[in-house]
Amino acid sequence: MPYVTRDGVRTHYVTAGEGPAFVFLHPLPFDHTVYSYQLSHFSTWFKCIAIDFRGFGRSDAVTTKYGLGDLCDDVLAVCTAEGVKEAVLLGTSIGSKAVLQLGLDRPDLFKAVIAVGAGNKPAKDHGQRVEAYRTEGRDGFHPKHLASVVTDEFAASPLGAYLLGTMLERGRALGMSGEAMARSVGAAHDRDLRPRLPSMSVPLLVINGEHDNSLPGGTETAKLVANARHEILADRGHACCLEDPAGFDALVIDFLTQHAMMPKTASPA
Amino acid sequence: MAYASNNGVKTYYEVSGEGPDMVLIHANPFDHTLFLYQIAHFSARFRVLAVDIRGYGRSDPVTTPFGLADINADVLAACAQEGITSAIVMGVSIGSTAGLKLALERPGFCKALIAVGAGYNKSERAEARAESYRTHGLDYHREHIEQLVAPEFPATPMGDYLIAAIMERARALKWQGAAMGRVLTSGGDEDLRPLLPTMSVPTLIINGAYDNSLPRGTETAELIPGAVHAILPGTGHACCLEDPAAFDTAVTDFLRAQGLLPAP
Repeated sequence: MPYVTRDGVRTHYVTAGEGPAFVFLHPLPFDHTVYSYQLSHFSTWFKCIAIDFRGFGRSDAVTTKYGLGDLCDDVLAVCTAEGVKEAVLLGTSIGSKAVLQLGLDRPDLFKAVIAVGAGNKPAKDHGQRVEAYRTEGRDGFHPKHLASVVTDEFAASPLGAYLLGTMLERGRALGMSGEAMARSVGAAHDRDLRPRLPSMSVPLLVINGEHDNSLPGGTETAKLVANARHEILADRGHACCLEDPAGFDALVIDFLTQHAMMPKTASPA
Repeated sequence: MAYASNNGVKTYYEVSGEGPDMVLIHANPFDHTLFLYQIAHFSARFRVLAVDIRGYGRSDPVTTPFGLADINADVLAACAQEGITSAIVMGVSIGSTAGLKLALERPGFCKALIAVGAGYNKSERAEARAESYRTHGLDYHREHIEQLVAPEFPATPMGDYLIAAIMERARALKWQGAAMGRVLTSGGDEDLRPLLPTMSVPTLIINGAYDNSLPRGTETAELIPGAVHAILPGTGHACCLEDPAAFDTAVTDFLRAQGLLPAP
C-alpha cells in the first residue's frame, strides 16, 4: 500500500493504470474512492494517482492545525515518490483549491488543471462545518456533510445511497476522526487565491454542478484565469464525478483532447 | 499496479486496501474493472487483489489453448508476489469456475469462496462466442456484453457509460479476439460436479435473476454441502456491476456469518 511520509505525516495513495501521470485530489468528506469511476476509466490511458488527504482514507489523522500549503506539499511528495515529471491534475472542492495553488506554483510539473468546484477564497460558513465535526463528531456530522455535497435526488437513489453508505463505512472502518476532519475543513479555507489567479499559465478547466454551492466561486475563478474553460453539469451537485461520471468524464476527455493531452494509444502500446 | 509471471505469461494486477486478503477474478469479456464498486468498498476492511486474466486488461494475450489450471496458476503467482498465502476468493463466470476448481484443489488457500455464476463446466455458448471473437474481433464485444446484463441495463445512463468504458478500454489496450476466445474455452472438458460434494471451503453462490448461468448455479449450490445461494433480482451475469448494493450486501452477510468480516 503506497504511503509517503513528510514531516512525520503519512499520506496514503493508490495508483491505477499505466501511461502519463494523472493526479486526483478528492473533496471533503470523501477519500480517493470518490473517483472510482474515473480511476477505472482513465487508467486505460494514464497512470492514475489518487491521494487521500490527511484526515481521510488511510492518511494520518492530523489533529493539529495545518494549511492548504501542507496539503500541496503532501501531493508533491507523492509525485516525487512516483517519479512524476509531468502530470494532469484534477481536484474537487478542497482538492480544487489545492490544484489551483499547485497549478500556480508548479507549472513545470502540472500541465493541465481541472478544478471541480473551484472556490477561490474562504467560504463564509466553513466555520460551521469545523464546529459540527468537533461537537457532533464523525458519526454525527459525516452523514450530513456527505448528503450536503450531492443532490437530494442522488442521495435518495439506490446507487447514491450505496455510494454514500460505503463512504460512511470507510470512515468508521478506517477510524477517521472528527477532529482531524475539522482540521481539514480549516485547511480548505485558509487563503484567498484571487490575487494570484490571473497569473495562472496552465490550461484550466473549471467544472461545477448546477446545484453546486461553489458555482459562484467557480464562475469567478474561470473569469480570473485567462482562457479558462468553464463547464456546468445540469442537475448535479458538488460531487458530480460520482453523480454523473458519464457527463464528467466526457468534459475531462474533451478538455484534454483540446490541449493534445489525451493519449492516442494506451500503455503498453 | 504490478505484473506477476507464470510460465512466461505476465499477469497484471492491482492491490487496494489493508486487512485479510481477498482475491477477485473477473468474467469474460471484462477485466478487473468489472469489480470497481467492490474494490472501493471492500478495500476498507480487506487487502483486495484484482487480476486481469491473460488476454484481458494489461495481461499478456495467449492464443494457444490453456485451461483453468493455467488461469489459477497466474492468480497464484500474483498472490505469491504479494505474500498472500490464504484469501477469500471471489470469481465471476469463468472466474467462478476457476474459483471452484481452486477451492477444491487448494482448500488451505481459500478461506471462503464467492462464486458468481458458478458454472461447473464450460458453458455451451463458449465455443460459439470464441468463434465470434476469432472472426469479428472486438466488433463482437458489445453483443457479448449485452447478453450478460439485464435487458434494460445497457440503456440506463450508468449501464451505457460502463459498457462504453470497457469497450473503449478493450480497443485502447488492443485485446485480441483470439486470446479472449481461449479464455472462453479454457473450461475445456472439465466437469467439476463429481467433486463438488467434497467441497470443504465455505461457499456463497450468487446469480442474477436474468443470469443464463442460474440453472447451473442452482445445481452447484445444491451439490456443495452448506452452500449459500443468493439470487439478485433485476440483474444478469454481471450483477456486481449492475446492482452493487444488493451484491455487496449478499457478500458481507455471508462473510459475517462465516466470521470473516473484520469488525469496523
